[in-house]
Amino acid sequence: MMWLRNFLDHIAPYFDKGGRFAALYPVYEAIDTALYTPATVTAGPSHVRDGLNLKRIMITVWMCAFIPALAGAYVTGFQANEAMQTLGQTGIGNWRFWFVELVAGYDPTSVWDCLVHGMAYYIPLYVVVFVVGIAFEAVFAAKRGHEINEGFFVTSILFTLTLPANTPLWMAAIGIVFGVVIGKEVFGGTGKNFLNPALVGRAFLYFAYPAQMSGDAVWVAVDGFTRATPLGAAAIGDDYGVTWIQAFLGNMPGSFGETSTLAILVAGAILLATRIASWRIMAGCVLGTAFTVWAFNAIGSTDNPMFAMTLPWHLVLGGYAFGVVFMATDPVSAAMTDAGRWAYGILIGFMCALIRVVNPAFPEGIMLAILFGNLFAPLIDYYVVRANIKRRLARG
Amino acid sequence: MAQPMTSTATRLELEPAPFDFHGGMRLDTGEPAPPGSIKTIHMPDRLYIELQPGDRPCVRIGTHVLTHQRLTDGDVPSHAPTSGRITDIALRPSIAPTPGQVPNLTLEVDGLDEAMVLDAIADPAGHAPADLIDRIRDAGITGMGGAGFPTHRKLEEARRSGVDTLIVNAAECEPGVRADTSLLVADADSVVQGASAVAAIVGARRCLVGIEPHNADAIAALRAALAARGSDEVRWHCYGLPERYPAGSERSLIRSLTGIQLRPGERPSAQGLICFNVATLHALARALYFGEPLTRRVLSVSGEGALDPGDHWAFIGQPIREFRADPRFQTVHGGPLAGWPVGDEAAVAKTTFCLHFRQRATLSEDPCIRCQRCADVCPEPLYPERLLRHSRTLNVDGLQRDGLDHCVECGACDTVCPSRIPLLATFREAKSSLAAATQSTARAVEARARSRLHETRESARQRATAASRQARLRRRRATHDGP
Repeated sequence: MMWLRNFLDHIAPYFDKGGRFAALYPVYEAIDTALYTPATVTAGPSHVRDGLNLKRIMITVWMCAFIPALAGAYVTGFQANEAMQTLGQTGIGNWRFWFVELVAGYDPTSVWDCLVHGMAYYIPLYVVVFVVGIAFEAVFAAKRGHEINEGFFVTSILFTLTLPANTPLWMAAIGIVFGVVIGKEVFGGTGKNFLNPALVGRAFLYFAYPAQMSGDAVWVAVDGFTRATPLGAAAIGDDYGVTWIQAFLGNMPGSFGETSTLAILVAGAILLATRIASWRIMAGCVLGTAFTVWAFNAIGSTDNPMFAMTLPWHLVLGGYAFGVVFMATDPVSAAMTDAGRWAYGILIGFMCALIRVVNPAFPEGIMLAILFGNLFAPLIDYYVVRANIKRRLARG
Repeated sequence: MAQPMTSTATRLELEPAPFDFHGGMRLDTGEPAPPGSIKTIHMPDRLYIELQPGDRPCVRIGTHVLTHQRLTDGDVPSHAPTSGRITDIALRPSIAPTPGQVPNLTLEVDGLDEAMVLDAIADPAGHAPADLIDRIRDAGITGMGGAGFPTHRKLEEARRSGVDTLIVNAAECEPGVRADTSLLVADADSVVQGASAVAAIVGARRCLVGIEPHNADAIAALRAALAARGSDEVRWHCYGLPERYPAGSERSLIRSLTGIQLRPGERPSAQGLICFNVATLHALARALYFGEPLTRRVLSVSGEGALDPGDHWAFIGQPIREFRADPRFQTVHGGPLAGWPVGDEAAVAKTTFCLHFRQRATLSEDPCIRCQRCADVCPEPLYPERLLRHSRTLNVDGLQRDGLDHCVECGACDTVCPSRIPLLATFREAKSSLAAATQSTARAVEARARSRLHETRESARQRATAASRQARLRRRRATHDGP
């Protein structure tokens, strides 16, 4: 791999101050440091540095997100292949068949065929999101003279994983641009945003293009095939269409990343073990949902079937697990104090159950609940910090 | 952590500290090097003795001085580490974290080391505490663990407020520093003697020693010295501290040993405690029992740019570049975590416990993602991330509210920050600009008061002039209008 290092060193002068491509320095820097550890690593007054740096944190989250992505690709492909079998189709009617038929077929019993079919939807979406998003990041980075942050790796994959398989590529591009620009860059870039940029983009699409982002026709990647998500079915009192264990493993319609709770739990365990995600937030979310769901179960309702949904179902349906593990724990937009993280998690858990149960217009509550929690995080912190200051002053 | 020279028995014998402090962090510093013998002084050509504010030199340029001769008068006097001639009194860069120039005496060493006759005492029991404190002041003893607080003032304060517990800080300030450990191994007797003297002066009945449980050699030396000491009424307890940085900082140490959390800015004496590190106790014992003023100390020399890594005896005033292998390396005064870079011209001070030489590197800083790892390790505990935001905008109210002045400058936040933000340096800068602002406000208030006084005086004078003129006029009119 020395040729790559030599090549990067060779072109480096073009990107330095005064070089021909100085405006593109952030792009060069991002590629260079993503591939190699920079030569200048220790600095500052404190000489000893922890091994965990920002880059490693972001790359770990990014890698973890691949676990539900793989599971999601398989599920998407499996459902598409199954639907095709049901409809008696032997090929797909869009450009993706080039990709699928090059290496696989449409057999729902074959893991490989399902994975490839799912990837035929996932990879184009991710590539578009990544390229368009990083282009806008680069514009801001070049203009502001800072570096492209690895945070975008995380934002891009998380955003893609919240999309239904059938999302048009142009729509995904609009969504990520909105998320990056309005959700993050207008506030000053990484670390300055108060909302989760991936969720901002997702929410924008949800409200701007409801026909492509919700309903029954979008979840299975086969034209003309409709199947409701279990949450959507539950909201109108239908049968969920899946058993609990199926839902836990992920065999149900839904957005790319949210289907397999098992895969998300594996990723969540890695994030907790590396102390990247806050266990307080996750625990708070589950606690908040548990209390709220328990209360709804106890109250009961004659005309709203959601009142009767039990906690285990809430945890595995929809984007709940994905949101709790990947979205709520984003440190930038979450509460930062230990006590605040509990409160923030409980608020999200409570809001999610509330939206799901009493607002039938939004079967998917976790996205709005987390954005709501983001808005309140600074307020929660304000009160926690004030209480701590009071305690410190009382001591002295 | 493997301890090649430790038997598990020694380790277990040491009782763990009864309490614990908040935050801190385990640092993997690799296999700790066994404390070697302390290297002897390499005689320098010139020494640079820094003058403290309020110091008046009691020598002139050209004066020939003897070893241990007093050089300055002031709160804490300075002494000549060796014999030679004073050749200059000039401004030189200070060793403080905020760069600046301070006056220094230049002592040209003659290499003869002609000593003065010293005035020592045999037993502190026969002396009044006030006399002992005077001797300690005359020997120029200050705290040697970093802050450099004058020891005689600390002792006087403790006598005033009443103290029953002496805390001996035998833990190193920072990982990788071994100066105190080496000193204990070399001369624990003096440390114990010094502690006994302090206990006698302030009337402490109890002495708590905090030491890192892995420093088996130092523990053994300390035990031997304690067994050999004469009987007195002080009860000694040795405790193994939690092995987390900053266990050796005064506030963490007090918290671990007594459970008392000092209030922000509170001195230990307010809680009936007095705290000394072993280097100070050693210097204090040497001053009392041998009459030696504080002119040398043990310091750790570390880092890849060190000429001769290890623990050294060094003269106060010895140029630090003599410990450096190559001018390419940056000198850090204090340990690798909480130390600060100093210029090439700086010299060893009484507070220099470690010199760390490292490669110069430019900072590549990422944005803060508010992960709060800094708050997790802060021993106080504060929210360094909030302090950082306030520091960058110099938001005075915010800094006060979030407790910048309670920051103990341990550098733990700096070490864990995944974005490599120089938190400690930013806080030090903010502290000094706050202090400067307060000072200039105080000066402005003073000036206003003075000008008001001046105005009052001025108007009183004018009123008096006017009144006397009126009186004169009246008198003149009276004479003219008279019959």
